[in-house]
Amino acid sequence: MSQKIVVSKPSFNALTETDPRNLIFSSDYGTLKNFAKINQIVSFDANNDITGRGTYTHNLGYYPYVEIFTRIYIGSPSGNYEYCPFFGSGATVEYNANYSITTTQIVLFGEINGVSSSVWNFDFLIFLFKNNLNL
Amino acid sequence: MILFYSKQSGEIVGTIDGRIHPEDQLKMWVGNKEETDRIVVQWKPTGKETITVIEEPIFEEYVDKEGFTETRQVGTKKRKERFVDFEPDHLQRYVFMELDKIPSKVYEYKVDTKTKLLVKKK
Repeated sequence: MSQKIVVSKPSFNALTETDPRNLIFSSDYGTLKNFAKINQIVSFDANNDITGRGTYTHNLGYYPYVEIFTRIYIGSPSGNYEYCPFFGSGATVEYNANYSITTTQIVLFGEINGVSSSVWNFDFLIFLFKNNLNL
Repeated sequence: MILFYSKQSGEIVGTIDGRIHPEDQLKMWVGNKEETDRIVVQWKPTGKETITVIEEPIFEEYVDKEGFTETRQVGTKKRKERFVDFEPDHLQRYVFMELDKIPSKVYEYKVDTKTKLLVKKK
């Protein structure tokens, strides 16, 4: 018999319960291993560029599980973080944020269209987990 | 907190939040190593302790009229818990204690590239 840790919800028996909906925790199922919270700002001047690129080197040697959020602003930090990839638009403009993952880096991208002034800031919030995606 | 800044302008470009950074977090880097540098702020024990008194409920089991086993609170007990105080191991520790509470405020600062200290943006 293998050893495991099971915590059941109130009124359920941890020793016999097999339905995961009735458990608070079971070591039979994988969990996310929170590793680091990273904030990175990618900035570029719309007078010269329409894209910006930033790199975050994690050096884990495998594809990690990540959750990334972004907020886009001009001037002082403002606005809400949105789930990334993100796409926003106005009457004649559009802006989007995206990312790609390698075994050593997370590459962050920001892009704007229809805008030709101001410094644009793409503020990325990266939640990095130790879990290997085995891709 | 690990803080990354532009070697040229001192502008902060990213952070890794936290108080104690293990070896594998120290291998991480925001931006290009030729363009960005970093300040690593680890927290260390101050040598002081805070003792907090915690009051906990005491429960006992009993069998109700229908024969079910229930629990009820019959009192409380007090116990002392010791907490070791930590603080940032940095000359500007009070600034980093504030940033620990609200990390996004870090962008109100930039790094003086000569002294490697944080200076408030004008």
